[in-house]
Amino acid sequence: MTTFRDVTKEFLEASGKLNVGQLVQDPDFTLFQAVGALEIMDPKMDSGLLEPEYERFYAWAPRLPEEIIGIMDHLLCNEMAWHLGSALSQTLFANLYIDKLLSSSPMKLEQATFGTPPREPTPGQEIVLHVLQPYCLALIKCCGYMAKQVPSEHIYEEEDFVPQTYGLPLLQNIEHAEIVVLLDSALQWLVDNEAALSKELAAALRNRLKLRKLLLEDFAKDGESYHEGATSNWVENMLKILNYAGASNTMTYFMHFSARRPTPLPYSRSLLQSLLMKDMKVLGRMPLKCILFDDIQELAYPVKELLDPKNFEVEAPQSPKYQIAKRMDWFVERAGRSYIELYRNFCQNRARLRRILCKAVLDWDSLQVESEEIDSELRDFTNEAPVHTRDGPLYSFSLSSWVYHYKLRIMELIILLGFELDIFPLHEFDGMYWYLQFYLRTRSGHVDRMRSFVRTPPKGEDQEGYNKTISMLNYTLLEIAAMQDLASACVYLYCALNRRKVLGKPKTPYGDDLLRYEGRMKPFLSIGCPEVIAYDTFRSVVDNEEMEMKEILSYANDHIAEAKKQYQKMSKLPASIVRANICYDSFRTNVNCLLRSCVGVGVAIGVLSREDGPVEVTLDHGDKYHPAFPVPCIKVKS
Amino acid sequence: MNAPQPYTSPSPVLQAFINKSLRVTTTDARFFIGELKCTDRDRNLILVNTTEYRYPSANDGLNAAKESDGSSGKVRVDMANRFIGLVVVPGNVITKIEVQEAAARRGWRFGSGALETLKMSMMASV
Repeated sequence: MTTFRDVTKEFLEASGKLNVGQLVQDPDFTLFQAVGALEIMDPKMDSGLLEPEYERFYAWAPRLPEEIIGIMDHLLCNEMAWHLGSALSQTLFANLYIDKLLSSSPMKLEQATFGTPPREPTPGQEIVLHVLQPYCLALIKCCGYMAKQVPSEHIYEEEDFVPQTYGLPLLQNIEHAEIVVLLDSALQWLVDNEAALSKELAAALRNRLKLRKLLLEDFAKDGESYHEGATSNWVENMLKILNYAGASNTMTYFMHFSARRPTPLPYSRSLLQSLLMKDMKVLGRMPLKCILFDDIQELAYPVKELLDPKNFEVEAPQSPKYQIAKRMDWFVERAGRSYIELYRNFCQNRARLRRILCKAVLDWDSLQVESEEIDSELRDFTNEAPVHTRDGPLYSFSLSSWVYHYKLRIMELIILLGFELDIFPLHEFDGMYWYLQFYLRTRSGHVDRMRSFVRTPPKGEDQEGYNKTISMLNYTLLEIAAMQDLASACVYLYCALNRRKVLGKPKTPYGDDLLRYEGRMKPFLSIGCPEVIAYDTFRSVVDNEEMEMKEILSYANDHIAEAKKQYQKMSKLPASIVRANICYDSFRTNVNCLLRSCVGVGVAIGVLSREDGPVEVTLDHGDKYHPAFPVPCIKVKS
Repeated sequence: MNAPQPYTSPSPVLQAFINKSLRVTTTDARFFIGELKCTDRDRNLILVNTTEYRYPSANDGLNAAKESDGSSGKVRVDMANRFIGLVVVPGNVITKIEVQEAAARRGWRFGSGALETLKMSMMASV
């Protein structure tokens, strides 16, 4: 048994005799070690500090209705802060009412209370009991669903969302219906006590409870219930993807979803992934193969033997159909993974998306090489007739063409995201826009090639599919051409600005332009086609040294006028043509942003053509412009 | 540069507490048991291998009461404790300082842990 002797007094006396700065210590102990010591009673270091307000907090203290409203709103803010990526410990769990409910780790509804309720509650206590407590329980239940949904899909922990609940169960054991009953009786209590509350206050409380009820109803649903046809109060728009309208429409939706400003919250991004794919079924209705074949069919329009579903029924190995099916199975396995992953990638935050795409492009590059091989093998079984040209017979290479098209889109996206995420410094804009138009040009050439292989089907056969592909390719060409013009105009504009030395290129004593170029193009260095061009060639095509300033600006002007025309054309196209059946609004907003960027860039070109004197440039990243095409505001230096 | 001065204790009374186990109570009714390594005029204490103890809250008591069979009419609740290691207890938050009685330690006359172990192992070998 250890005993302790009180030495407070002698300690006090002895220490009082010390001089300032004198230490009594273990000679082996250095103050250096003491640096790591936790300071007791320091609120930032001492997690065990007993705060009197915390210890003495009495949840049943009477509250005014106004106070209840304040607490509810505060809780909602806390909850949303968690949705936005803060930790529970710094948001909801710091709330004393929530702490009261959860600190006993309730497993049953009866245990989840603010403590034993007062026997004869005063009116101020009744409102806490009948309104605040049910509200808090419903809110925790919502958080419980959230904590389940988000980690069930791929969302980056600590980056987008902190799932840590510190071992506290968020009422997961309690039925959703029980909580709804509580909310309903809270609403009823408001009706019964209307006389005691002012009209305004009663309405405010009712609205908050109703909002919570609607939220709870939605949080209770997951991907599966939506696949089974559940409706929603909040994500109705997102559920449109379940009305499958073709692979291209789905892809457009995901791309627009990802580009929303502000970026969708982790919950929606996770839910969208659940909607896309659960239990190996895409959109709750079809195998991966279907959406993949749809996409290939629409874009590449391969010979009809290739995607024939009957192929997969043949079991005789000597049959060409069997051989085709075998190779297509491989392709579905290999490309399907990359393809569905692409959809999922669009559910990540924008910075993460770019990082992932930099890796994905390598995957698509090797996929392209592998598919080329499969394409030439398949030719033997489909008996594809070549297209005869001056360069000899040419084959469609449908699968690898399709892969190449996606690879180029990814490469464009990486550049576009570079602008959007502020990765490129101003003085590199000309070069980066050059690469953007270079990839667009390459893709445009590729689409042209693809179109030359789309053969008119014999009369009476699949005219619809043929028309669909032709319209798809034509629209793609228009979309590419518009952005190519906009990017080219930017190349010339920033080239002109660089020449006038107004883009503030910093001095880099430890690096040079070549090194920077290599670093910038690193994601693409190992890509076989299109290759990253040599630095000297790059400089000469970007700088256009042989051109006069006037000439450069006139080119810029031509391109921007052309871009504007094409975007105006695009903005008038119907949803079915632009493959935005389920997100036509986003499509329109996006084209309008691009148009405004065109106008802004046009104005900048105009100012630069007029003014010969010193100018200064600031970038306008405003929401009205497209994020990848911020507008340079050029002002004359006074 | 001056060579570091060899350490001479400014207070023999306090020096006697160094490396002893102290029980330090703070203004918020927690207490800490740890070995004293350093102190100064303001009674700031540096403790190593410290454990924090706190009295159970009313809530804990209620829970324990529910779980107990109720036959004795008394409820036993353990003090919550946790190891927190190296800490500084500022002098102004200290309400009480106690020292662990040396008599309670085995082998106290040797005053050194090493000797104590030596003695124990010798006894074991006999």
